[in-house]
Amino acid sequence: MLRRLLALLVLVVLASAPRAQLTEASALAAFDEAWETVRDSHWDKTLNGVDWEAVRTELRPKAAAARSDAALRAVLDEMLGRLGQSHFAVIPDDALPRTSAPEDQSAGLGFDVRFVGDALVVTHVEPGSAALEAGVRLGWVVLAVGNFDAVALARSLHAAPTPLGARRIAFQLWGAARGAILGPVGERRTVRFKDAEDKERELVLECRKRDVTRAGLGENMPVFWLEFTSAAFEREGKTIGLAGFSNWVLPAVEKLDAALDSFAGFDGVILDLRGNTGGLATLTMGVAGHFFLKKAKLGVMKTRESTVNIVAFPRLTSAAGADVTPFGGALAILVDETTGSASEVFAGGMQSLGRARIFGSTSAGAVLPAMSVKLPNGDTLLHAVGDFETATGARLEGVGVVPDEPAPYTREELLRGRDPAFEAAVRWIAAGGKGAGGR
Amino acid sequence: MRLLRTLPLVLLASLAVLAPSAQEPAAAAQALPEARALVQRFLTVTKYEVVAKSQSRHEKGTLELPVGKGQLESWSVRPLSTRQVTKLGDFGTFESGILAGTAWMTLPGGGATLLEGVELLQVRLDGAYDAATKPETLFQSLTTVGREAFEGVECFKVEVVARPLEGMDVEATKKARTFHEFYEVESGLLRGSKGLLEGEISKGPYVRIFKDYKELAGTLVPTRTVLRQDSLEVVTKLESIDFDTATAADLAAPKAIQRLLAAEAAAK
Repeated sequence: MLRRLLALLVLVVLASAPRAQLTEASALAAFDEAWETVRDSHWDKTLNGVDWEAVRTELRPKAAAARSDAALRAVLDEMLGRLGQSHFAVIPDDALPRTSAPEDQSAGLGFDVRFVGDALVVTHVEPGSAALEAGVRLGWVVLAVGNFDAVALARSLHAAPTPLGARRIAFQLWGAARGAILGPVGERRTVRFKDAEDKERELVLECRKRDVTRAGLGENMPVFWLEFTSAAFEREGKTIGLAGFSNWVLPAVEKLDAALDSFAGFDGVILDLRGNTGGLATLTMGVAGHFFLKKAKLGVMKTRESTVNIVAFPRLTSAAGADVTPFGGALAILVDETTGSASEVFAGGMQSLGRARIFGSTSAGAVLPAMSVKLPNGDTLLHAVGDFETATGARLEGVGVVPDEPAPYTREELLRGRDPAFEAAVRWIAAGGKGAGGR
Repeated sequence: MRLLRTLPLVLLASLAVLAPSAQEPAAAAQALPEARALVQRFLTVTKYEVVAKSQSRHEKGTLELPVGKGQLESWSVRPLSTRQVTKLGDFGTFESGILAGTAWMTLPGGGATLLEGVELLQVRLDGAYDAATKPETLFQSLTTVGREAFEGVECFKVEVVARPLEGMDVEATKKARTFHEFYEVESGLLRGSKGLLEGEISKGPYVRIFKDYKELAGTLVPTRTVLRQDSLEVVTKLESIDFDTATAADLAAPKAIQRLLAAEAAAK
C-alpha cells in the first residue's frame, strides 16, 4: 500500500512576515537546500527553460549577505519567482501552527471582496456580522481597511511585472485584503468604503467570530480556517442544492459528503468553488465519486518520473454506511480568479468529462501539485513537483478553468444584490441542466 | 548447520572479489551465486523459521513524509489476507487490503476501489504471507544478474519476475512484473529493491531501501524502510510485530468496499 501512497498535495501559496539575526552559514544552508530541492524535484528537467545554475550564481551571494530572515526570504522569493510558475514559495516559520500564538483568522469584519474592474468590491456580507449591522452592502467599494490601502496596492500590483497577468493580480489583491478583513475576535478596524451612491463612508467595524472550522495540512503549513456553507432551495419548480467551501481539507469533505447525500433526488447541485484556493488533491477523487456511476479519470498529474491519475471513484456508501446512488442530476460549478489549485483540478477535470457546467470567470491557473519541506532556517519551502492535465489533455497552469458560461461579478449586478454566476447556474438548472459543457 | 549452508556462498563471494578483472568477465559471471541460494541465505540469517511457523502477523509502526508524520498498522494472515491502515493526521486515513483474492483500497475523503490487473498482481506479491520465500506459485523466475553497490552496500542483484495472473498479457505486463532485489554480499540481508509501480492511481519507478535490521518477535527484520519515488521519500519505522494474534475482524474491509464487492457480484 505504501508504494501507492503517491498522493500528491496541491497546496496553496500563503503570505509572509519577518524575524531575527541570520548568519551567513545558515542563510546559505537555507538557500542551497531550496535551490537543490527545486533542481531535483521540478517535474520539468529544463525548469521551465530557466538557467537554474545561472540563478544560483547570481543570487547565492545575495543570500550570503542576508542578515535577517526577511532579507533571506526576499532572495528566495526572487529565486523562486524566476520560474514564473505557481506553488513555489517560502512560508515563514512564524506563520505555522506550532507557534504559541498562531495568527487567528477565525474572526473577521464580516464581508468578502473581489477585484472587479479596477476596484475592490464587496461581494458577500455575512449574516449577523458587524458589517451587515453597519449597513455594508454588496457592490460597495473598499478603499482601505486600517492600514491596508486597497487603491494604492491595486495600483502597485498593476505596475509590477507579473508573468501571469491580471488574474494573478486579482488573486494577490484578494489574498492581501482577506488578511486585513480577518483578525482576532474583538479587534476593531476602520474601513473606508464608497457606498452605492459612490459616497465615501468610514465605518469602525469589530471582528466577530466566524462560523469556521480549524483545519490543517500537516506541520509544514499554516492553519486553515475552513468556511463551509450549504443550502437547499427551489426555483421554478426545481429543487437545487448549493454547497461551498474554502479549502480541500478533510473536515470540508466530511461536511460536503453529508450535504451531497442530503441532495439526493434533487434536480441540480451547485458547487461554489469561488474563494477555494486548494488543498489536498486526493480529496477531489472521493468528491467526484458523488457524481459518477462508473470510475472516470478527471486528469493526470505528471512528475519527473511518475504519473498520478485523479480518478473519480463512484460513491456507493454514505458516511453513515447506508447504500447510496451517485447523483445523476445537473452539476454546476462556480469559479473565479480566487479558485485555485485542487479546486481547478476538480472543476477542470469535471468540465473535461462533460459532467459539470462551469459558471463565473476564469480561475487562477495555479494548479501545480506541490510538496512542502522544512528549510534549515525553519521556514517552509513550498515547491511544485508536477504538472496537471485534464482528461482531454488540457493544461490548466497559467490558463485556468475557462467557464462554459462567463458570468463575472459586475458592480452594477452586485449593487442590485445579485450574484451573476450563481444566477446563471440556477437558470441553467431550472431550464433542465442540459449540455454540461466540456473542453 | 547455518554455517555449512552459507559457507559455499562465502567462498563464491571470495572468488568474485579475487577475480574482479575486466579481462575475466566470464569468470566473474560464474562467481555469481544462484538466486535461490541468496534467498535461502536471507531466510536463514533473518531466522525466518519463526515466521514460517506462524499463521498471522500484526505489525505497528510510524511513517514520515516530507509533509508530516503518521501511524501504520497492518495485519496479515496466511496465505493471502491482509489489511493495512495508514493514518496521516490532517491528510486522512488510507486503508488497503486483500480478502478472498480481491484487493481493495480506500482514500481519505471517500474514494474506494477494487484493484485490477497489474496493480492487483503487485499488491498480491506484497501481501502474500510467505512472499519472502519467493514461492514458485507466485514467481516465475529468479536470476542473479550481477553484483553492484546498492545505496553504498555491495550486493548481489537478483532479477525477480512474478507469474502473470490468469488472463494477463504476458508480454505487455513483463516490465511491471519484473523488479530487482539486492542481497548484501557480506551479510546476506535483503538491502532493497527497485521496480516499476503500476496502478490505477499512480505509475512510476520506485526504490525501496531496508535499513536497521533488528530482532523483533524472534525474527530479524528491517525496522526502517525508505520508499523513494521521484525525489520524494517515505520512511517507515517498524516498532512491533506480534505473531498469531490477528482475527477475522482485523481483516474486515470497510463498508464502502463491501458495497463495491456486492455491486460487482450483482453485475456478474
